Amino acid sequence: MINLKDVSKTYKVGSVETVALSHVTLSIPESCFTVVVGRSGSGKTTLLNLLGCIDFATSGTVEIHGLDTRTLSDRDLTTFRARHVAFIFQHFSLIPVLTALENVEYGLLAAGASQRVRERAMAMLDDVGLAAFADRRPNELSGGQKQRVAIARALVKEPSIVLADEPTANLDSETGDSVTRLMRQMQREHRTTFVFSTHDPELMEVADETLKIKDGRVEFAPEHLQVPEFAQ
Amino acid sequence: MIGAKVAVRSVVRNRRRSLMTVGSIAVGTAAILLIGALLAHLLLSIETATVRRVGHLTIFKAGYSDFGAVNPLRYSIPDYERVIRRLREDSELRSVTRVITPVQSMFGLISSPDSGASKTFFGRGVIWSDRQTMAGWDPYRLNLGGPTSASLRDDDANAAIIGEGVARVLGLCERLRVERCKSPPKPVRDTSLAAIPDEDFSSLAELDGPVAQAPAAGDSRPAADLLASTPNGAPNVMRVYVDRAERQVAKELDDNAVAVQLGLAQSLVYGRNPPEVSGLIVQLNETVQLPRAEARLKALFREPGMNLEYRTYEQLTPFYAQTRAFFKVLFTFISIIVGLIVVFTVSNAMMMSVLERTSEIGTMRALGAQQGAVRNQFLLEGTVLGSAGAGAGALLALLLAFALNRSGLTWQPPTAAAPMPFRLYLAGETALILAVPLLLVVVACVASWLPARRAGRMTIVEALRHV
Amino acid sequence: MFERTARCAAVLAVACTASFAIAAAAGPNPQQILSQVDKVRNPAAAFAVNNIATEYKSGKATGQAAFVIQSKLDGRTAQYRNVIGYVAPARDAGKLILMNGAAMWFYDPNSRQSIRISPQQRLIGGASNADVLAINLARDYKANSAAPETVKNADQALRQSWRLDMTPSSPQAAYGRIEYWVDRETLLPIKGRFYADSRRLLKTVFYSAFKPALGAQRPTKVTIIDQLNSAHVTTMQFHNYRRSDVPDSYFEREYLSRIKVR
Repeated sequence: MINLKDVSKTYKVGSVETVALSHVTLSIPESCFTVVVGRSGSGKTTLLNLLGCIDFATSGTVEIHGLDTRTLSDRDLTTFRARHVAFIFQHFSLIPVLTALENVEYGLLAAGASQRVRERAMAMLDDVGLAAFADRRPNELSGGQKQRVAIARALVKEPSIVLADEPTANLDSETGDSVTRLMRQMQREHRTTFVFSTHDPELMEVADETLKIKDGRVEFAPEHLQVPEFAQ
Repeated sequence: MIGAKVAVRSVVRNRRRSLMTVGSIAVGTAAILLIGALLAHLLLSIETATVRRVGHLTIFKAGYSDFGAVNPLRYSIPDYERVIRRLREDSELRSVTRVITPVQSMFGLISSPDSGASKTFFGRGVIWSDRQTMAGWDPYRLNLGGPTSASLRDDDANAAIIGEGVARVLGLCERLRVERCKSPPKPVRDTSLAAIPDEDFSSLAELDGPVAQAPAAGDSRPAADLLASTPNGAPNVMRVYVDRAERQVAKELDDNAVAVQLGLAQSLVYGRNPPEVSGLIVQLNETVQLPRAEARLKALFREPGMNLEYRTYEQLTPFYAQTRAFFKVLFTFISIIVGLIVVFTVSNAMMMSVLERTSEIGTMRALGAQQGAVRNQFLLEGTVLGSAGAGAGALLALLLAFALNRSGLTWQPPTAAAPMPFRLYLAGETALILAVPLLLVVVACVASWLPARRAGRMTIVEALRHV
Repeated sequence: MFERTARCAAVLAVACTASFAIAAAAGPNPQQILSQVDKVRNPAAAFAVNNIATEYKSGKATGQAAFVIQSKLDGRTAQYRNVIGYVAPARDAGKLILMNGAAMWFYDPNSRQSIRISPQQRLIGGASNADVLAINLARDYKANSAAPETVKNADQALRQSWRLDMTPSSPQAAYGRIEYWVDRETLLPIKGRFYADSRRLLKTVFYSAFKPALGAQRPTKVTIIDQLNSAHVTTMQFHNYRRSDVPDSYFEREYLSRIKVR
């Protein structure tokens, strides 16, 4: 569904050029639970950003449903993202002035939904077990609760792909476990593609496939994820 | 409207900064409103004072405005009574006109037979009762205070009212109760004349017999002689009795003004020739009716035998027109300055807001919010700040105006002959109260534009990296 | 019937003749007297005279100036035109005043500028007395009556006079009314009273010190009392009346810069 063809990403910080990704070729199919592992700074986040179309490759092609993302305007990319891509961040990234429920609603509204927004958001919150906290603001929630809201927000719009960058990094093990289970459950129920980066071994175990990245290169990719024409 | 929720709640969230921003906008709004009210009130008072004095229009013989200064007697209106009748008969003009009254200018010397002092004067012959009516014009209900003393009666043929400056030169301070008189300096005698022997003309004067004018029966008022030139180039003199001295609006007037009954002025100026008038003063019910009156006069002046022209009060008193233009400039200038302050304040507040919520912006964009939506949200935030500030400012202005109007302060603006109560004419200025805050809200919105746009255009990954 | 008509006619005729006789006995026509008076006053077609004018206030001299007056009769208008040149005081020497019909001009040799003096400006100062000189009585005034009167002249002597009562006959007449006393035999002026249109008395003028000049007796002293403030008296002393023919162009504004006062 998402293809990366010989994608490289370099960025400049001051006068220093850093290569984040180098000649990466991948294919992400539907409905998989893939984990991306590698050291800090190996390019995991960059990879996820490119997959989620919130960043652009310096060279190479990023294709979504066959469409080269470079040909899409920012508006179209944003619309695509709104509808099809969901993010779950390390630092939760909830909008502080909105309640838990409103944060989840935001996910739907940004995607362009207009029907029964409140109902669906409430249902999703309930699914992640936070129905009672609907009116709480993020600063009144624990880390785990916040992450669960984030998951609810991500999933409420039924995206094609969920990208999570170290989702359990700021959670204690128990909470992390429950979040992991939740994501797995969601993936099964909705047949969503999950790609996430992590250091968490528990999470790594739960994954269907593992993608290893080192110094901006894909060290190991399961067959599943390889692009046929480009052999590694 | 989730964006609206975020905008409003974000404003409330950062209480101190928002309050300061709103506060500064409020103060700026109140300042503009109060100054606007002050200037509006001043203008209305000046207009009222001017229209009371000179009416709305003065009708002259055609050519007066261009050449009348050189030879005023050639440009007087000969059959003025017929013209007045015609104007009063006209139904359209009648519906807007309050007073039509003739006036005769005079220029010459005024001297006091008691003190022997004399000075030049320029003045008018008027119909006292018409002037009294004119002095009551008060459509804006400013309560400026009408004439402080009773009008002279129309049949008081020889009465005169002079400026205080004139009274001083003539040495009539005590009799007319004028303050701040100085005794005139002793004339310095030219020493070269000392050689000329003195003469005694008393026998000749007696010879001639007393021809001095006895005062009119029972008139105890101080006498003065008005000396002017007639159309024949001859000197003519009329005796007047000074009823009172009145302080005039401007010093130049105060030092030269003499007002008498119309008939007396005509006798003085035209002498043995048939009497005419310098002009006809027209005072309307309301100033807004002026264009209508002008149009009607223009039409009437095309009739045969109406060889006339008119000048409006603004043309005749350039001070008023200049003052109004000046006030406009002043008000605009102050508004621009306050507007700039609002721009800086809001811009700064929004800039900081955007910076603080960089990661939030990243999140929203990642979630699928368009650039425009993010921008609009911040624009809304700025507008909310602006609205709160402008609204508070309007309220503040109304309260202050109310308080000041009750405070009993007085002041003496230009054209006021005496101190008057300090008034802010705000409550009636609906246009001002609505327009100024509205404009400032727009200004606040515009000031938020750049920071908001920047928010929308942020690179998502960089924004997200910001914690 | 005819008898009665004839008798009426006879009565009428006698009555008319009688009134005629009465009129004849009353004296000469006032207007005739006036034109005679003018003849006496006005010396010749073109003449010059020196004048010393002194202003007094309550008997004390407050100003003095000396002039040369050059006059010429304008044939078309029957009016005298005058150029008055200042001789003294020194600060005013060389200044000129031109009186040409109704217009009065002032010329300053320092600035070489001539400016018109408006009727308003003539109300004060020396210019206010100038018109007493230029007056042409018969042309501008009509004498309504000539009454015999005894009047005291400037030297307190009693004189037999005609008192002429005059009112304007033309728009150029400066005064609303003039009372003029002339000697009954010589028709020389003794005294004049000049009134404004409002009937207020403006000035009283005494003519005295008659001396022969230019073929007639002329007043060499004129005393003008300002009746609006009788403490103000101006005396004018004339001497050296002489014929002085100057071209007509002399009395034009443009000529002023060429005139040298001698």
